[in-house]
Amino acid sequence: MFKALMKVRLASLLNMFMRGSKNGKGKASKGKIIGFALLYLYVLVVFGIMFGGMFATVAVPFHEQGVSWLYFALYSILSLALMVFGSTAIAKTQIFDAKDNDLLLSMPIPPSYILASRMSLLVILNFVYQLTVLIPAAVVWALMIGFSFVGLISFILLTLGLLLFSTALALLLGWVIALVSRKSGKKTLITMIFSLGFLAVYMYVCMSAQNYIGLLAQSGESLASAMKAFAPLYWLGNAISGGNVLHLILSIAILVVPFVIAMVILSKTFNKIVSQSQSIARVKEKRASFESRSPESALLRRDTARLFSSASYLLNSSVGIVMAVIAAVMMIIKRDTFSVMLTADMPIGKSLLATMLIFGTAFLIGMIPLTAASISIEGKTLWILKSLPIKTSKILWSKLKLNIIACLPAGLAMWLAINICFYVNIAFTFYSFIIILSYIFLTAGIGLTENLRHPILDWSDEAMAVKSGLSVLFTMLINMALAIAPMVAVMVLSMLDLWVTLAVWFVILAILNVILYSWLMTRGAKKFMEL
Amino acid sequence: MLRIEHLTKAYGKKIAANDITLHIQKGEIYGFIGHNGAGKTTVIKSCCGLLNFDEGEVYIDGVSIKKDPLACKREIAYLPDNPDLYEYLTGVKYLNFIADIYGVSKDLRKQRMNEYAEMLGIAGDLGQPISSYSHGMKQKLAVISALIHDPKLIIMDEPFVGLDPVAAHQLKELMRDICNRGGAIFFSTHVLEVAEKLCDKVAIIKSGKIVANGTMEEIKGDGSLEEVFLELAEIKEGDGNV
Repeated sequence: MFKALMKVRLASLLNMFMRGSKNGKGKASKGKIIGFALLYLYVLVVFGIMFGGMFATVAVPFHEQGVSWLYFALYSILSLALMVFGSTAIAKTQIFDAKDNDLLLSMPIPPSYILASRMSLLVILNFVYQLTVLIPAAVVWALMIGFSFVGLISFILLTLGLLLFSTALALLLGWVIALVSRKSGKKTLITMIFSLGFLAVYMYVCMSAQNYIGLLAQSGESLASAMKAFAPLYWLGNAISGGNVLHLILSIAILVVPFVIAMVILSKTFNKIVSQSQSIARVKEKRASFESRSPESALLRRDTARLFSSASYLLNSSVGIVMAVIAAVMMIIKRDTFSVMLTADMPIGKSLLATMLIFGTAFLIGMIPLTAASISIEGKTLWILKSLPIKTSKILWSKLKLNIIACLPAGLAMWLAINICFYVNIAFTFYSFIIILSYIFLTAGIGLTENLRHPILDWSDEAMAVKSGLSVLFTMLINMALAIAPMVAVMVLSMLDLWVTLAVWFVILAILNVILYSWLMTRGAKKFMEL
Repeated sequence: MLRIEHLTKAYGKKIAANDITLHIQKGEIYGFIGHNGAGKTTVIKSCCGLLNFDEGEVYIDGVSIKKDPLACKREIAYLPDNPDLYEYLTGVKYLNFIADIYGVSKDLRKQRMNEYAEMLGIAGDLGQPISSYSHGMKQKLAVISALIHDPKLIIMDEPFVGLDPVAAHQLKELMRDICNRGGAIFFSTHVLEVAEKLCDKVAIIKSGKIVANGTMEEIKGDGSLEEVFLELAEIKEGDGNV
């Protein structure tokens, strides 16, 4: 029975990432699976290099200062943060808000089996996240210092323990979010606040780690004495670096017991959780409005309502906006620092720096993949739009418009900040404006095109439509490439003429926009009706 | 009002609708019956412009759905078998959205919304999110949204599923009223008693082919529709129309 449940879970997981393109229903081809595997490998390598660099900086100094345990404490903190951040939202949807709970509970399956199968999925996902820290940490230590036999066994056991502990933490946080959002009746807002909070904390930790990693290496001893006060971290690190068996046993107990407790509590209360998840708060009656609007305005309002009804959709699309606005504000606040850097340290000119920042803005705009899920998110309600007497091009244009409107404040904020802090001349101000605008249109178009090519309409959890699948992935990759390619081109070709390079790039963007929008309004519209 | 001429639609090698020809006149309630997977939904979706068909034509009030789908859609209303509506909107917001697309004026939409919502017993729930509705309430809301632009032709796929007896009765009354005012209704159902009592004409589809069609009297003769349906279900494929 458990095997059958696991099979279904794994099938849904694989289906989520590797489904075929036709109507989102077909099977993935072998080539696509290989492509996807290579892509994951690429992500693993990128993260590996990032974390590897960090570990390589601190491994030898920590070892020489006699605080090797701190290296593994750092590994534990980083992997734990990554796993908890990565899986809390999934824990919430998979355990507390899962749509097939009723179906499974109606069958003679013990709740503990249902729960165990869901937890196993979480553990697998967490392991994927953990690998990105685990591999560089282990490789760097093995190459630069070397594991003892007991240390290696401890490392493996404690890595498994961390996996279980992070799952328990993700469950706890997922439960808190689900509970608070249900009680408040503002599910989207609460989930958004929690998620953005997580993101802010995680980014702060990562950025601080990058900034202070050198300092960490130098002052390992003093840091170690401060962190020693938190005994479990010391036990965990010392079990691996010092091969201390007592510390190993204590650490395993600390990591595994919360997971066991979580399993027991959830098994006992699973039925209650399921029944609570279905109770929907009735809203206070408001006076009904019967105002009429144009079809275009009605479509845009509906698309906006859809965006704000889904925390995962909103969050996935708003990270780029938030980051762009923060970057713009920071740029203006730290304006003087930049000026000093420019005159003192920077070997490159102001115009080149401003150009690079414009492409940096394009990169952030590319992280707002609203259209990439805008058709998938319709799911089973797609029949409504298809049955209405309105041109398909207008339906698609409404989705594009929402993306463009969402990107505009972010793009304009960055454009203003760049031109205030690094004013080149009026021509550059104009130039940078039309390039950013072109990017906004282009990324919106790319997202919609990709979603028409790879829609997921038969989802049971809307996070599937928003976060996974080829559409969002391809959109993000293409957008990134479109931001990075001109950066490289400008770096290489700026010696010739920066302005010519920029002009050529603008022409390329304009041509791409014309081709894309022509396709969307003709063949794209036809494809939409065939979904 | 609705003319289906030699409609054929295949999914790969499987022919879901095979040379279907049906004519539905103004003022008629036309029932469409058949076993599960017989091809009813394929025909219905083709008539609404939701599905591209391979051969044949569908005319709504003389206009080809292939050539001018928008003009056709303005005249019809479609009610699917499963009311998957926008759960993130409230009932009234959903109805407003549909009314905006069809260009229904403020006064008319208010009047129709109130009238139908009162009749179907969900007037007090229109301000609530659709996600809090039961299956039957969603079905009622879908019925109101189908009627809000006063369509000439209503195409419905299993409209009585999920409705309580009172609402089902009211829907039947509404259907008759629409036809009396010159409209037409084409709907699929598994409930043969409903078809027998309500329909002026009926068509029976089996494995993608129409095996019988005509007025209720022509089809059932002295027996009941159930007897005819069961008898036809026994006929092997390829035996042609009855």
